[in-house]
Amino acid sequence: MPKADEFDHFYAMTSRRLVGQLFAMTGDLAEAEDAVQEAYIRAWQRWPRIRTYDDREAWIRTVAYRLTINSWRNARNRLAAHLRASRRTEPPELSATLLTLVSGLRKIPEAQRRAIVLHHLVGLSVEQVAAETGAPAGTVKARLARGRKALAPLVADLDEPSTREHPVGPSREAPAHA
Amino acid sequence: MHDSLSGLSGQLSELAGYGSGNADLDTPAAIRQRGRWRARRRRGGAALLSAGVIAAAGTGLTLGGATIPGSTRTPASGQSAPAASVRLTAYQAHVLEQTHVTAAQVAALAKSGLTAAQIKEMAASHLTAAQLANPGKEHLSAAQIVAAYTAHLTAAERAALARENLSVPQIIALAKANLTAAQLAALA
Repeated sequence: MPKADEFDHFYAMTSRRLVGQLFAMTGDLAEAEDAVQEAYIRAWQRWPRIRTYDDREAWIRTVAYRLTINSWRNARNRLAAHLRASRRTEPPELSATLLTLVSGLRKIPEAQRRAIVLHHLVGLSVEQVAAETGAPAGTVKARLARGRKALAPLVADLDEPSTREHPVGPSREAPAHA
Repeated sequence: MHDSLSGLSGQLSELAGYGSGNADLDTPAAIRQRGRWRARRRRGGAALLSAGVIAAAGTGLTLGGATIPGSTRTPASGQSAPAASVRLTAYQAHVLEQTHVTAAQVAALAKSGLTAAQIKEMAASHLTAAQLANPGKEHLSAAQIVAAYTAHLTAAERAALARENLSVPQIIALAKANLTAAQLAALA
């Protein structure tokens, strides 16, 4: 498959999913879009190398996440996102339940939020989350436990479970690390 | 317990679904175009720098962040690259190139032992190389005399300055480039 076609296919198959995941991590759709697109631009610039990775999606997610936590970039993104948002059709409003969840996610530390999303949404195991975030498995477990505890009052039927070794979210292949 | 965790996963999935469903993304062709444009811009900058690059005979050093293949400090193949500090940054190469300071001139000054501090002294009081090389023959202001004194130039440094005959803007550019001791050592 030609290089460009392969990239286009990868982008088409993964970009929206990654925006969803980054949106859950950041609570800001415009910022998630911007970070994910920027990560794909960087991936294209390194495509001969990136295309050989077992889990290119994890590479994009990691780069996009790092972009969202870069404070200088955040300020610039907000401006770009604001300009873009003013041109685009306003998306439908979030339901009250999801607004509550976004609000709760924003209140917990970034590292906990990332762990929660990677484990419960992306479906990574604790070990896989540890590998993607570069934190020890024990730290990931603690982040998950604390994050869930903080979110418990906001999420229906969520009590404070012990940290599970295996994810509940959608199953996926183990990521290779870029 | 499984239900409670499913509750969180379910709500997160719903949230992500909202993000995915409402994402307003560029086409892959547009993404590739942006990547290409950015790479071109970077290459363009590099080309601009290399246009003013003059390889320093003997040292093999070029401006523009290139390595120093001719230097004795160049590691043997298979070893790690030289430390970043001996490479000129794009900014350093740019300011030197703007005033047509060549790598050969910098190398000659470095070889004579001229330090970054001395270059700064010269730049701060607008001293030319000729003034510093021959302070007796040149008309110097009081501030320049002080600077010439504080620069503590050796005979070798004075000789090198005389040979290279740098103008005030060139010396200011050298000061702006703020070459590190490691860079000067690598050049020399």
